[in-house]
Amino acid sequence: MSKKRETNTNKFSTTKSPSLAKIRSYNEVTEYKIRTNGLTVLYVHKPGSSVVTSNIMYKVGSRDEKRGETGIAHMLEHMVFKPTSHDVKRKTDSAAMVFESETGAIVNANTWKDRTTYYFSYPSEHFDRALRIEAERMHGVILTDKQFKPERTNVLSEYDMYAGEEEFALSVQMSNVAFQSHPYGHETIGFREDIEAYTTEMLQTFYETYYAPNNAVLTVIGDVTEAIMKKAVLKHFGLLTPSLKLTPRIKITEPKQEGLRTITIKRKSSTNVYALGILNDGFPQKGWFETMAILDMLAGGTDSILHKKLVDTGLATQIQTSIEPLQDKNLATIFVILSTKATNEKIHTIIQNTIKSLTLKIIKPYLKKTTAKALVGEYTTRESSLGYTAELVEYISAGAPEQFFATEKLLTSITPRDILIRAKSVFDESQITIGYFIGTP
Amino acid sequence: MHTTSKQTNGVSAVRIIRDNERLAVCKISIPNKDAHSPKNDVLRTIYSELLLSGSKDFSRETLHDALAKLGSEICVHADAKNISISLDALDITLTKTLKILTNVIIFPTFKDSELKQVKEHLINSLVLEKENARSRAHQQFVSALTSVDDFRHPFSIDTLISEVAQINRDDIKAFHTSLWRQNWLLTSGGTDKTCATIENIVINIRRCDDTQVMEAPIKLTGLSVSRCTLSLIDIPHRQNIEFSIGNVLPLFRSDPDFPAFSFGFNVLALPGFSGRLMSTVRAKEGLTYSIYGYIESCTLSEQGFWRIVTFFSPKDVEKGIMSTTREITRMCEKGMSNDELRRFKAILHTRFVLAEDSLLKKVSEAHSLSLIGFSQQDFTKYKQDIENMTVAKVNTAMKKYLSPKAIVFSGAGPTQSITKVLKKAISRI
Repeated sequence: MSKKRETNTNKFSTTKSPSLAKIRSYNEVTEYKIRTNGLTVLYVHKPGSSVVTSNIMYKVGSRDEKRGETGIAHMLEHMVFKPTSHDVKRKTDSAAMVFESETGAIVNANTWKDRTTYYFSYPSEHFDRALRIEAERMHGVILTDKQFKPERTNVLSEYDMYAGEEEFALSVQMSNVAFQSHPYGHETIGFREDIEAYTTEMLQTFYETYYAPNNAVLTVIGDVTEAIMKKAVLKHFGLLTPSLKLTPRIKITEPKQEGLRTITIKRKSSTNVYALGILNDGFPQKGWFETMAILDMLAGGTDSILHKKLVDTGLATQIQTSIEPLQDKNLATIFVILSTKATNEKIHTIIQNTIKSLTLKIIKPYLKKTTAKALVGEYTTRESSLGYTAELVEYISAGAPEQFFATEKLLTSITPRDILIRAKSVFDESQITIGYFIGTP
Repeated sequence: MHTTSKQTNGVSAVRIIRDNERLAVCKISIPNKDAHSPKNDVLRTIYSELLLSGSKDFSRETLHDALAKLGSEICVHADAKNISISLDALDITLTKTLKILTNVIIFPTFKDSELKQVKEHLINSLVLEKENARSRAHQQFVSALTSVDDFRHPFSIDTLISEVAQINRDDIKAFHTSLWRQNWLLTSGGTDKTCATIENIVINIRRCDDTQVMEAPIKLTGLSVSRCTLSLIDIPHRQNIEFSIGNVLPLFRSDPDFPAFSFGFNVLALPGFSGRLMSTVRAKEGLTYSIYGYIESCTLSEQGFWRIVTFFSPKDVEKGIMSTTREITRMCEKGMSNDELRRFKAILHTRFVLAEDSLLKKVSEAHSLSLIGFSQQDFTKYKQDIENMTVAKVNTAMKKYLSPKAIVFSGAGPTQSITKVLKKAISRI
């Protein structure tokens, strides 16, 4: 049997009255902290739209999971949408779900390797209610078998949805061989076998450890004044107490790779996929952006080098890349869906030869284009409070929210020589991971 | 943000204006008037790729290079009804981006070498499409509900592949020339100055040919089924069976019943957790990860479809189908409650408010309205109809148009082991 979470009064501080202290400002963001419990608050006023997006990000993701409990951060994310102890007292369904079904607010969440994030986007008049719900979910989630077991079925359904995709199946296996020590070695959804073995006790421990104000950052972006924001934040989060179980993440440095790593998946399919994984610096370091620029130059659209060599020649049907804004060194991947004319060996040789033949002259125009595209992309993503928040969360997760405004400076500081040096290093045969998805009849 | 609209020189132009905006975006759509045939279907797809393969002043390479240096993007997309062009730029790069667009539209080259490459690419994509269970379930669904001469009726992938070789440069040039004669729909977004710049240039491009009088569109209906039918495509190595479930919706957008049906269908199948299907079939019963519904292809001149999109694992498929049908039946027979009326009025109102948060969303919304033939005034009236909706109106519309005894179940995925049991289950509905 699972047990209910301990009474909420454990989380209340009575010694000091809470206040929201201004810590710093960078560009249009103001950062505050509730000193009594450690909650960080980032606020941006965007008047005129009548819309607010609020987001709470917990610094916990799949990297914090132990062996045997992979995917538990994501499972817990699902459980946070179930009724809390407050909802039970009020005899209502989950406040978050009621919020969506009564107001039409956008209510969603996602879990990634470094963080779990929950967001609401809604007309400004619902601001106080939105914060109340997030505060209640921070300490009042009930984890019982009755709630958990049907939701696990949904998560298994989600797992099956991803696992059927060739690129995803490759990602799972490639991360697994690319990381021998660092916890980025498993995907956020976890392994099916682990999902099937979760207990509510495991979820409870995870929840009590990581869901607390001292492990969270609240972001408020939109058409709400500073005074109203401060009042609501203190009202709902001011008296929550910090987690005492929280310990700093251990810094894990992945052991040096000493040779090419490969994996092969054979599955009934008519699709064949070649994937090349490279180790990339953490986000938002300069090296991360350099790799982003390299991937864009190689496979970032119809004018990219490999698109011309593989898709335009009919050797491949599609070419795409994956690069994640993660805190530590992680795997970025190029996926090539082969046409019937191509073999894995041929694709591998073309890619390696392409890297070897890169020169400053080739790189220079591509770098200019990548920078221009990235900057327009930034305007495009940040034009709504929802998009702005989603992007800011990745900088917060990486521990560098102020870098949110430094992308242009950083991108324009990258030189063709930087790209050349990095390309030669990350594509070194002894540092890469190759995945083959071989479709069998 | 605010919206203005005007009609001039064969262009229906809508502006979405946001002050101090650095983004400059526009969407142009031109209706296809060619006959519905596999050849024309393939032709449109090839055309949409070939348009950006070079022009008088640009090769493919220099064209993409010029756009990328500006950080701008021009995309061309073809569907059965329209050729659509979208442009994304910043205010400071807009003029240069529009110059490129003008050059591409007025002086395309359609080189044979480029055509060869695009054809090869298309064949590869079509082969890959055979594995796309969701798309194939959808195609099969539309196929069951449209006659072969309906422009929405899809052709088989193998038929399309066999047509690719037939397309030549003359076909492409003739198609391009015919597009000029149509009336264009333009939606621009940015500051007022940005939108004015876009309109001036696009209208000038359009002026390169004579303006035709807008033809009255031919009214289209679908082939409504009168009993439940099941069609399955076996794609053995997929994990889940993807479904398109629904029927013809015999309503034009202008029909008085449309707002009521649309309201009720949202109660049943709104994306998110508010709709009944998500809150029962997913949240309570755990039978799928997502189950949403859409009203599709309903315009002022076309009756469309209501369609539920979902997937089930083979072991849950029977339960999933029965649960979905149960909810459709409940909605049809018992209708919705006063509480749902109140909630969904608020939900739909919020949707309208949230659109104000994003210029891009607002431009897409406005352009979609233009494509179905709705003016901003029509949309305002539609919003008023939603505000004034009653339970009686919705429940009458549900009874009339959402029969659980007449549904097309179209599935694609690993269906072999479940075909028998599913046929039996559906025969009981």
